[in-house]
This record gives sequence, C-alpha cells and structure tokens, in this order.
Amino acid sequence: MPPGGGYWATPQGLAAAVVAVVGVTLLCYGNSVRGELVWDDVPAIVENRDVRGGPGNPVAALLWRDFWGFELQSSISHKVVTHARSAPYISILHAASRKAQATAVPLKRFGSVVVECALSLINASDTLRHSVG
Amino acid sequence: MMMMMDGGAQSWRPLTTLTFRLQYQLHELWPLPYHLLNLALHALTTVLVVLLADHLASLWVLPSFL
Repeated sequence: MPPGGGYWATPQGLAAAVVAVVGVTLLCYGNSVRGELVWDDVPAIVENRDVRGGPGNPVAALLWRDFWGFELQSSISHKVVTHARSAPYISILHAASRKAQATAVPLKRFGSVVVECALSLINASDTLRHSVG
Repeated sequence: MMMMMDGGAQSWRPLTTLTFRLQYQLHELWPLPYHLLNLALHALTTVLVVLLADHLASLWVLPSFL
C-alpha cells in the first residue's frame, strides 16, 4: 500500500493534506514560540530536579519519578498501574478486531477499523499529547 | 492542573522529561528552543495522523465519501 493510495487517493493529495495540517499547526501555535516558560512549565521544567540533573538525579530516575520530578510511589499516582491493568483488555480488543478484520462481512471489518482507531487514539493521546506538554 | 493541586503524581511522561533534560543541558532555561521542539513534535504528530487516516482508508473499509 503506497502512501497516498488511501483516503487522499494520490501522493499529491496526501502531500497537500500534510502541508495543510502542518500549516494549521504553525498558525495555531506559531505565535507562542517567543513566549516565556509559564504556568505548568515552571514545575515541569524550571523547578524539576530531573530536568536539571546532578547528584541524586540520574537519567534512570525518570523511570520512577513523575512528570514533576516526584517519586511515583510516594504519591497517589495510579498512572502506571492503570496502564498495566488495562493491558489485558486492550489485548482482548485487538484480538477481537483482528478476527473481525479477517471476515468477509463489511460491517465487521468496519467495526474492526473503529476499534483500532479508538485504541490508536487512546495510545496516541497518551504519548503524543504529553510530548506537546 | 488538578494533578499539581493534589501535589501528586498523576502523570508519567519520561520521554518528555528526557527531552527537557537534554535541552536544559544544551541551553538551560532559554524558552525558545523548548517551544520550537514542542511545535515541531506536534506538527509531526499531525502528519502521523494524516498518514494513519490514509492507511486506514486504504484498507477499503471506509466509504469513499467520508
């Protein structure tokens, strides 16, 4: 399946869509790049010991400290636990959707795409949203 | 912001913090590069969504008018 052979039908159409979304992104956020570090940037970056590093703050500490540099275990955090507990359900959904994808019934195949979309969105919103901060 | 009000850790984003850490070593607290990298990553995300949509459509299960 070559890029551009799907929704946008042609590579040119796909390229136009890519240019469009990047353009809108720049329009939306371009005026913020000259701003200061504000609001949650302060605890997340300026006052975060894991950002500054130094003695007692190895890179590996990122694995057991949260976004603000606090110990995961010392807080009420359930973020990691939530991931671990939801994993089996995610697997079941994936398996069901793969099975549906293999059938010849269009409605089932469409349902499979819906499920995969939802799972991708959950995954993407969890990882990519955070990269935007 | 509730997560901060609680004083608790309700978010775990090690890769994000890693980028902050690397950037801090490069240019300390100069805000511009932080914003630029975030903007670039967000733009990349939007491109990935477009590619995902294109790929899903290619599976021949979405009506062409969508």
